[in-house]
Amino acid sequence: MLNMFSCFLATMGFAIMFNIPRNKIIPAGITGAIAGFVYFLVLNYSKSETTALFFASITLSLVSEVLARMLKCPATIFSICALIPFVPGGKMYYTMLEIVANNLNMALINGITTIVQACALVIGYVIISGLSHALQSLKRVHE
Amino acid sequence: MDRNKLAKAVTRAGVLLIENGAEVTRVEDTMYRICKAYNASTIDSYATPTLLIISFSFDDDNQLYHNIKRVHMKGINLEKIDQVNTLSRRIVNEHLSLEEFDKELRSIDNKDAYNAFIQCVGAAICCFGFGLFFNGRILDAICATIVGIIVKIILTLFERLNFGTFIRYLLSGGILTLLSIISTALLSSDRDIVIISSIMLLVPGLAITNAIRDSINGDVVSGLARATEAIFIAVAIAVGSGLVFSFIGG
Repeated sequence: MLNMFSCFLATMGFAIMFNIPRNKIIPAGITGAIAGFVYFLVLNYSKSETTALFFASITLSLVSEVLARMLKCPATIFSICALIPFVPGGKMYYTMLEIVANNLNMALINGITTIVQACALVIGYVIISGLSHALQSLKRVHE
Repeated sequence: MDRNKLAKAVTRAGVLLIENGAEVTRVEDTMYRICKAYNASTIDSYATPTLLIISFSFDDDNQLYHNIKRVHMKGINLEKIDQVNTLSRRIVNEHLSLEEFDKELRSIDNKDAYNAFIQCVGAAICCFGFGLFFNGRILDAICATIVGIIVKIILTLFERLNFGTFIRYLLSGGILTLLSIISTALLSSDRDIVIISSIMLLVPGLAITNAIRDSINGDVVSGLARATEAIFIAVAIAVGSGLVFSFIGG
């Protein structure tokens, strides 16, 4: 519950800093909260942060596609704000810390994890937005 | 309809999108759709984070119209992306005249972003959320909030002073680390959590996501450009905070 709330706050903060229209700040926050819920749920069962990130990004892209249809605006508005909190900034920081401490093995491990996690995040997002594009063109062909 | 004017207006729409952080596919697609709505044929649009090219012709005359524009990325303003998107949809559906289109674009361009105070409030909410997200105590979250607000103010200040991107992020990263160490010394908060929570303000999250997304979509050039940008910002932050750590001890 607290975790969901923290995601809600973080997403809303980014929504304000990225200047999204006033009436869409709360929906963006909700997108983040749902993604946070899924993230911690999956993390509980699989113990792999990368898997959890992947599922979180799939969820948040789905939610933002739905919200975009409902509120008639591009889905990126919600997905970007909700995606940024999951970017592995913490791992990046630990990579730097290990480099400063001359602990290159750990730095390499952390660095590679950072890249893998960032990719997992974006791949989840790309899958959903690709599907939604495909659905749209299918609809157009149908009409 | 003045067809050269159409070329100019379409480029302006594209510039607005790129400046405010849209992904390349969206820019190319929007420019294409607007030209198509004005009955142009053989349309080619090409966008990278630094350059825009549009070229089209009409069936009834024997001329090619094009426009090339150098673009500088400014920052992120999703509201403007939303509005340009809505505008392009209106052009397709309601057949706006070119004059109206131009006028709407100008009004979108001149719209102000949220002022600095609200931006700081956003940063505060954000850092507090991260403090809790990374399993910090309330104390850590509050420390992160204070550090975050100060860093945001400094970042905005440097931006006004026209510092280069690299120096800006290097200094902000250094100051952020210094402040976090001070707050740990004074209030015995968890140093790592405070730093991670507030460093999220600086981390080039959008650049990283856009870089991977553009590359996956096949726009390899802009993917590389954005990845380079992201890597340099990350290196700047790391150098900044690394310097502070190597003096004070990690």
